[in-house]
Amino acid sequence: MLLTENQRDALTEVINIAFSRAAASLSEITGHRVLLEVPKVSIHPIHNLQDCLEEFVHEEIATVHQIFTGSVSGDAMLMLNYRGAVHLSRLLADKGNTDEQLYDSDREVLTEIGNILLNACLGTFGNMLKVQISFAVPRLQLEGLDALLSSLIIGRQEIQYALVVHTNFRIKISEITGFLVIVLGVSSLEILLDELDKLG
Amino acid sequence: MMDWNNMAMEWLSDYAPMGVFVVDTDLKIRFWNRWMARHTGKTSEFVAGKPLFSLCPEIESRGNVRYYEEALFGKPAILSQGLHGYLIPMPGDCAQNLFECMQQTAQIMPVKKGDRVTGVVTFIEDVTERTQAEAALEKRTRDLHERVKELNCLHDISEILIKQRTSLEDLLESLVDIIPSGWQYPEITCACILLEGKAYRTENFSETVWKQAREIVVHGKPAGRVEVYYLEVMPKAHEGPFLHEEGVLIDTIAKRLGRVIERHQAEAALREREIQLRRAQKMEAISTLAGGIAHDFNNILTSIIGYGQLAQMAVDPESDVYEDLEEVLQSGNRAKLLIQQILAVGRGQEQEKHPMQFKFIVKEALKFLKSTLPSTIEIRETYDKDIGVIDADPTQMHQVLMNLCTNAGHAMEQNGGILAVSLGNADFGLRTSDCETVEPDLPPGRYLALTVKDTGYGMTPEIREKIFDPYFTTKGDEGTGIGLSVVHGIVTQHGGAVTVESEPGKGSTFHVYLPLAQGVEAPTGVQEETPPPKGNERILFVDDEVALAKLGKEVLKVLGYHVTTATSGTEALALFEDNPNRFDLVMTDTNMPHMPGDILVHELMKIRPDIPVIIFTGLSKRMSKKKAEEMGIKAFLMKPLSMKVLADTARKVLDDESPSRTS
Repeated sequence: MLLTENQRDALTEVINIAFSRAAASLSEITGHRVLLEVPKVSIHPIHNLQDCLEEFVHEEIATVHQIFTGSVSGDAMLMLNYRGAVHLSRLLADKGNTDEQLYDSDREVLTEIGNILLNACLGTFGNMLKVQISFAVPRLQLEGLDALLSSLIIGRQEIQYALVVHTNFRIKISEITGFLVIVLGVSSLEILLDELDKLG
Repeated sequence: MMDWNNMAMEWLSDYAPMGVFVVDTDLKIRFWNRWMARHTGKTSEFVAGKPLFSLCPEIESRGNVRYYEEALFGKPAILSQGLHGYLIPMPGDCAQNLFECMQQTAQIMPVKKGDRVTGVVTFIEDVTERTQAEAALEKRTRDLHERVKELNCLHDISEILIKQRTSLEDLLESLVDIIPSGWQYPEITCACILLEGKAYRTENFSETVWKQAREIVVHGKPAGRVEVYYLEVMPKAHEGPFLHEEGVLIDTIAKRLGRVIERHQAEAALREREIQLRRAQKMEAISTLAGGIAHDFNNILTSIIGYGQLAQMAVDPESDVYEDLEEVLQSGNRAKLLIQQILAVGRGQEQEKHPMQFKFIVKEALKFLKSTLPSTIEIRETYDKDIGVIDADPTQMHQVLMNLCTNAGHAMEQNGGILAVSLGNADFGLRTSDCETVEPDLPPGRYLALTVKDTGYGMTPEIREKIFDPYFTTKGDEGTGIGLSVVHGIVTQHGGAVTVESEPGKGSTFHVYLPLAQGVEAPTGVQEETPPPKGNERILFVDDEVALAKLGKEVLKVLGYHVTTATSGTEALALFEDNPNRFDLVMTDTNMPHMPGDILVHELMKIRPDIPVIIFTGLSKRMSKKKAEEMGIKAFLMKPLSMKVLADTARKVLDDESPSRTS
């Protein structure tokens, strides 16, 4: 499904606002300046998601996965490649270890960050759509993209779309690239686009 | 019917392994489980209805109120230990004092009834132990990482060390570059190896105050140092900014270096020994060969010298033939000395040194060379005035000169040229001699300088380096590779040195330096020989070689003696037994079949113990001067015998024995 120019602009604007709030929260927690570049937004049928996330598909990814319910429901995910996830966690927690392993504490830090970013994003959508959204507690999944996408599709009747937000974090002097993916059923997506049209 | 809700609540309240508490929308406490009571010391009764932030002011003071505010808007929050440490301070288990209080992970979640948020539930998990374990694991991983680096460094060093063919210099240059890789911060590490006045450094080398150093010990003595520097200040560790393990690593490197240097030295010594062994084996082979032919060769020489002398006595001393015969005799005598020299070297004996004027040797050798070198080679000789005396073996000096000149002759064989031989003095330390152009490695002092210069095809630097090596030759099958190594060996044994200058196409110049004898006068020339003494006594001359027996008879007869010859021990014994008083002196060879000379002497002395005996030999294995003396033999002579020696010895023995009988 293609976005119109107006829809894309409106969506980018909304997400930008949401991310600014998220960046402020992250900055406050960690004491470091957190910059989030203007995100790039696109919508794809879920089976095309792999092509869109090419640079991640060949390796294990760390995903903070949060399910949301309400009149608009779906799955929100913050996807980072494994090394990026380790790096982000260490930067934020100010740890000096040099090995490339995600410890339990790193996973919790990533879950917290994911929660902040996803909540900011979904919360802004909820406000915009004037619908109540319930959030489950997010969890961290470490697996390949294939397995992750399969788990999303199984048991779903409705055609699903993925709203992909390409993000760049800049913390201290390091840049970390990640994707924020919101998977919605076609009906939820239509509601979202209708509301975007109204904003436009 | 089972009341599951009540059961679950009871479990949550009393047994849940985590802290659980619920606040209402006014953030007043409505539920507080036993875990919370136990860890905060505040009972559920005490906290019930009290505002959360007044009970736990740290939530507010540490900026965590907003999570509760957001939860009231339906947003869950996670407070990780990594970013927050804890939510509510509790003493908990803080083993090893790593943390000031219990480390916690908290989840703050809205409680909903339908779409309406009615309160906030908080779950607190104690992660102190886990965090501590992770910290320990991280440290171990970091340590392991460092150890792997150190081991890699040692492995790389070992790889270099086992390269047998590498020179010590190349080895140290490669090795110093590897050292930084074993340290914690390789990018700011530089290293240096100091050994015997030389320094091997990494490219980025710079001395700083953050230094780690160890001595390199070779054979128990300090021989150098290994130094490692950090180019930037780093956190203080065990040894300045260095880890304990890096101390161990540099120790290991220094020790290993010490052993490698020892090994290199041992290998060099071994190579030297191998060369010596090869030389010794060669000498042994020569000795065996020479020993085998010495006897026959001496007999031949005895004939040449003996008949030469006889012939000389028969001609006019002023005639050309007399002079020619003189040359024959001189060469014969030289050959005699050479044979003795070969035997002496083979037996590892000291050469016979005595003060000599080298000039005479040079003149004699050049006289010989003039007749052997092609006429296209011009020989020029130059002698400085007041050339000093050297303490040397004339035969060996002759050999040095002959070998150098023969090589020069070879170099000019095709195109001809000039062979220039000059003799002078060199004074090292003061450097006044014109002869010296290449500085030899010699102690200061006065030296005789012999220069042999040719205008032949010269040598490349590569060849020049090898010419003194035994068996190195550029002459293919024609050369043995021995000539110059013999020169080098002889000159070195005499405390001198040989140097060479050469360029391809420009000829070669050899300089030989020999230390001058201190305060010794050399014979100024050929001494006037006194005529051989004569006599008229009766001599029994025994030699199994018929020619030599005949020669002995001829020579002694010329001297006036009455000679009876025998060509075997048994024949001699029979003659003697017939009439023991018929002879005044017995002269016998040692090596004879059936009855060797010593056995004959033994038998003769049984018959007449006072019979004077002179024994001679070409090979000294069976007989020696000492053995002869022990047997009561009056004189021991080495073949070949010259008329003069024979006459002198016979006269001396006879005179000592019975002065009354002298003529």
